Amino acid sequence: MTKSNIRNFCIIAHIDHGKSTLADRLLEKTGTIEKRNMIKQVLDDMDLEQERGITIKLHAIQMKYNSPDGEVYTLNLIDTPGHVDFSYEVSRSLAACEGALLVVDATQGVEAQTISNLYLAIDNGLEIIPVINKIDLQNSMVDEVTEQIIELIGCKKEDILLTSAKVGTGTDEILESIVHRIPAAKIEPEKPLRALIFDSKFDIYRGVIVYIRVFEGSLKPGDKIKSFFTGNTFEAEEVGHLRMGRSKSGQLDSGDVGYLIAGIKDLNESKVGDTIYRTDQPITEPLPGYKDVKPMVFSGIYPSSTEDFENLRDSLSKLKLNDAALTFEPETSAALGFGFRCGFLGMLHLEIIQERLDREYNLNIISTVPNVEFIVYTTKGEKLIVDNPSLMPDPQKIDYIEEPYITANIITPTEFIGNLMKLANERRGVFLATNYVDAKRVDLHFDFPLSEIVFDFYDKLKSYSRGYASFDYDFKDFRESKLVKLDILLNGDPVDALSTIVHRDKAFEWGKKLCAKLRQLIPKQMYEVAIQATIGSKVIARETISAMRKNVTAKCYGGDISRKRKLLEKQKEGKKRMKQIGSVEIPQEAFHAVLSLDT
Amino acid sequence: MSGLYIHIPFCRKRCNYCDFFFITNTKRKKEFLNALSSEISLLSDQYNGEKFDTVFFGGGTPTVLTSAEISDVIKNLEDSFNIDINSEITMESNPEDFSDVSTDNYLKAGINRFSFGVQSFIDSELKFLTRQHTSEMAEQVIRLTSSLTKNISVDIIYSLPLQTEEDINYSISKAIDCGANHISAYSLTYEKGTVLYKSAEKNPLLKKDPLKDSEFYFKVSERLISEGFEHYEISNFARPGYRSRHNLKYWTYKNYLGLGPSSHSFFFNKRWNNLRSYSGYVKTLIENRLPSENKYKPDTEQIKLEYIMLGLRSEGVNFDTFKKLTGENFETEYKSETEELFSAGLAFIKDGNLKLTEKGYSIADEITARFF
Repeated sequence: MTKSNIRNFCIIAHIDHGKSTLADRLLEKTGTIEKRNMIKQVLDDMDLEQERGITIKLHAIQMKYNSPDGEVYTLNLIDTPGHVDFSYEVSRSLAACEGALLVVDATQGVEAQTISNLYLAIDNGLEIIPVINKIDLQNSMVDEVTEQIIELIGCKKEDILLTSAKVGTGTDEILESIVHRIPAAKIEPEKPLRALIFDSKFDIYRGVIVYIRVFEGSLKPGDKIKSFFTGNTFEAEEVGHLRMGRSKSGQLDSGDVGYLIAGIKDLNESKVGDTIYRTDQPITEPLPGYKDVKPMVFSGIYPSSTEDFENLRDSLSKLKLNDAALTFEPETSAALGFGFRCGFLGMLHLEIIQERLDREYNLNIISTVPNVEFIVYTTKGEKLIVDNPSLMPDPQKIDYIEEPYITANIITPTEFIGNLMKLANERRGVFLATNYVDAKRVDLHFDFPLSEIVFDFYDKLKSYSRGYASFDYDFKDFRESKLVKLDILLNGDPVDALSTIVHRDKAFEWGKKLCAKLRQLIPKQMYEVAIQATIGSKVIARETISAMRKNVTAKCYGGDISRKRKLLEKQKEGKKRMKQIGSVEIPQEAFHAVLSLDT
Repeated sequence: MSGLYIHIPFCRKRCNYCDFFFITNTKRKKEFLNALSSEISLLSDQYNGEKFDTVFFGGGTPTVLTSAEISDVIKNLEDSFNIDINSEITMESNPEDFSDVSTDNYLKAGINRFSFGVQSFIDSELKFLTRQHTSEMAEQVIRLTSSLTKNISVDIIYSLPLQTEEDINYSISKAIDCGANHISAYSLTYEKGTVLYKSAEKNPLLKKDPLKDSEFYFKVSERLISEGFEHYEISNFARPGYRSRHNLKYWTYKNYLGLGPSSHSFFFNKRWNNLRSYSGYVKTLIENRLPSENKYKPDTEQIKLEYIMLGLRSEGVNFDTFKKLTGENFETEYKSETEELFSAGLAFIKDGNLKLTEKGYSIADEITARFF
């Protein structure tokens, strides 16, 4: 085993704490990219990402750094996605590194998401280099943040670097620290190839482009290779390093970070976290940490007009090319017709897909209220997985139901503890522990039913803490809960797309609020409409929409019939955005009514 | 038989709620009458095989024309088209244009139905609507006319800002008392571009109150029906034998030929309109060309919708007529829609017609959209 000049690292930071700006400075300083060519923040290249200030998909980039010590180092910066929905992908990116820059905003301090990613990094044995950013700002609290970091990772004060990525101060120190504090990538060329897939993307010309970290052995075009977990075999067509684009090379060696093209057609044939090896050098052990990522949140997605069904299928298939975590299967709804039950990693993931369908594929869709997956044990002893509330068996056939729980960290200034305890209580949270981050901030640890954080939890968290609390979670287990299926009937007809599974204790209030909300959202119809919330055959809430009073234009004379017809055609065009259910027309917003309930 | 419509594009002044086409320069009457004359002669050959049994002078303000001028136009029409001896010949009339002898003169000229643009018998309301007459003037003219002919219609506008139920009842009573056997009751509409529309944008007090509007709509219907009027179109009521035969041409999918600027026509399965611009209209006729534009033939789908829309607003969708027009069976084609209307008490079937109830009339646009 020899020492190398390769350093593989990533940046851990909360949204807006300056990760992208710092990355830009490093790229500039190492001459990887010239200043005048910089489009603000190179790493986030999807429109949506830039708008939301988050990185959704990972990228990696290689820099050559001329150190004052006379050596030239290869620095591979591996980017990490910045949201809770993608924590598995974050963990695989971290696994490809030996070290991490922990970037904390001097004006904000440590946030929950930073902490959970930091723990992931520590779990992966990474060397942590703490960096306090934005020290040039007037309201920076360098001393306080220093204290928080020391408390958090137990480092010394002088280990913490101070920078202003925006201004460019401290970049040299950071580069030197990367070289001298982060362990060099181990070089073990004599061993059989073991390479970790930490990301992949689909390219319409080349198929799947796999991003890998080679731990042991080497890989060159022509090698017959196999994915350990999926068991698929391929032949390597092209390998190379990642600069501002792909840079072809003859071989990837132990320690390297790069890409692989191997005629792979589907992201699911080469999953993130899988280990690539050569068929002529069989291995007994894969690299650790592989997980089959499963969707956690489900929603029915339907085209507004039935003729768009095939279009929607094509669009989802295209999105899936670059998003292995997205799942979809055809389903039918009595209310909405033909559509797809889609699975997502979390709410952000869901929103991104919805938005992309709208923006990139120009599809007008209706999506049902998101739900989690339930495990239903029937009185006959069967175990059913239910990811669509309308498919829940009749109550008398159910022995018991289990729902997914997550474990969550909420970091908050101490003054909001009371508020957040109240919120946790409202959301059936199970309190586990409190850890003080520093004198003023605390890390509250809870378990929550996942279904309780699917609806507006994040917004509530922010409003209960005046924006200060941050939140992170991970899936924990399935637990038995007293759950019931709440149905909505319009003039006696059940609307399957509005069914929800709720906790029994909340059902009455929930039903009442949902009926009231629907009453606001459904416009007056030709006749009275009764909205009922039911559990089984029992009506628990009711609202009435009175009949429309008057809708007629007075004048239709002078013989100008075309004008009048066109007006009505326009009116009908507006109605196309409504769904006819039984005799009632429902606007699309109504299907999201549950999401905007004030619970 | 078909209808003839003549648009007289003059008004002395624009009312604040009106978006109809007209000009206020009555000095150009002669020029217009010449153009109209050319239009009549250009059309007469083409329509010599057609029979007409209604003539309608609309506007604008037809009573800007003297009885002599009206007489000339009617004579010209009778010479050029095949007009039935029992034709209904209506003239929209503004009370302020009438003297003691006007009605008699117009009757002699050939007019046999007067449609008075009264709008209200309350002076403050007339002022609000910027009408040129007073309630007293209107009453006098209508009573006088009524002594000479029973074929009188009165226009009333309801849902004025601050109008009370007593107010609207008063105007209706007065109209009946003066001798109206036909009443057109319109809910005030705020047409884009009108003075009224702009005022309402600025002053929320002038905005229409939908609750009150709906209430008044039913009150007006109830009142007129109790007085022996039949509600035969959304905004039109008539005692038996006094329906507007001309307007029914539009609503029952009959042919009509429009003359004068901005008039509309439906003939030989085609729809078109005349040029909206007065000067364009005159100029084209001086060049001896017809001033028509936007000519098109509605396709079956459009015919269907137009017929349903018109039928539902008036005497009903006649199943035989529907079959003749579209080749389709209305009852089977729209089974679920009609059943829905029955069960909600919004429509009924009588003598092979699907007709809306009073409640159905009030939401006719919504109902029609269901058939689209």
